Amino acid sequence: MPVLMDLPTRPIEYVRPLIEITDAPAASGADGQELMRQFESVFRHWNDRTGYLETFRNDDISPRHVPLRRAGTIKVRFQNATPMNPRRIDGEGEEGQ
Amino acid sequence: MNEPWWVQVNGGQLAQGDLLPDCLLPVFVDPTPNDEVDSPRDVEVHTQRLIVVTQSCDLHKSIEFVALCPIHTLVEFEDVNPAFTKKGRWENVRKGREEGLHLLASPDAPQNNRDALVADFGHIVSVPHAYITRHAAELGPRWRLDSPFLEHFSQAFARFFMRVGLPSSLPEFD
Repeated sequence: MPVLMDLPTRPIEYVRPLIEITDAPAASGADGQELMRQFESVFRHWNDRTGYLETFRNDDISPRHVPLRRAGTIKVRFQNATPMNPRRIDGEGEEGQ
Repeated sequence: MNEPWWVQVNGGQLAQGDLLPDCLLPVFVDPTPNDEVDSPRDVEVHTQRLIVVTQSCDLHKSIEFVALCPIHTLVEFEDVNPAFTKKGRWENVRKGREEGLHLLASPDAPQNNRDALVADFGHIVSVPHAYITRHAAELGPRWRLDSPFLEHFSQAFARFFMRVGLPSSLPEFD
């Protein structure tokens, strides 16, 4: 009988820039400047892509709710209310047995 | 952005998508008294900007409670969730990829996405219909989400509420 197994997904362990600007050769002249300009454009494009992907790293963590702002207190009096006692549990870690 | 997202309304008649600032919410931490003679006790009251999620047709029936969820400015949300200051995170929400959150244009500056509001579907509160109706009436002019943005909001809420969690899943495709 086929069984679906809970296979772990492969986590992103490390995100680094795909290319480093320091790897570019020293540019000189008009062609070199143009090469550097295009290189920077590619560098920015791919680094932005990795930064975008990095935002998914903590996707499994749900965002926290914004706490409610405290406005004050009111006096209340309970009527026809009885204490709700916790359920009795016999033995440690044996709930419901 | 040409179509207006919100219409201004007056009075206590409620509808789904009504934006209601400064709603009061008592928070009962220890609701059941343990004393035989019950004396008055203090209960904290919180305040929040809320948006109605109960369906409009149900609001016209004699219901006792109305469901609402908090709606925040992006700055308020980022203060608690700094990860949302990262590039691309709000864009995920805008595209509906962040479950439980839904972006709505600001009533005052709809063209500015940094002024947008974010509804948190994971933090639903229920308040007495009588209270929220009176509060709405006392607010004076207030905002109501307009069609088709209302239906889009309603669908996003339904999609969040009806989701099913699985104990396991297929491995990701490379």
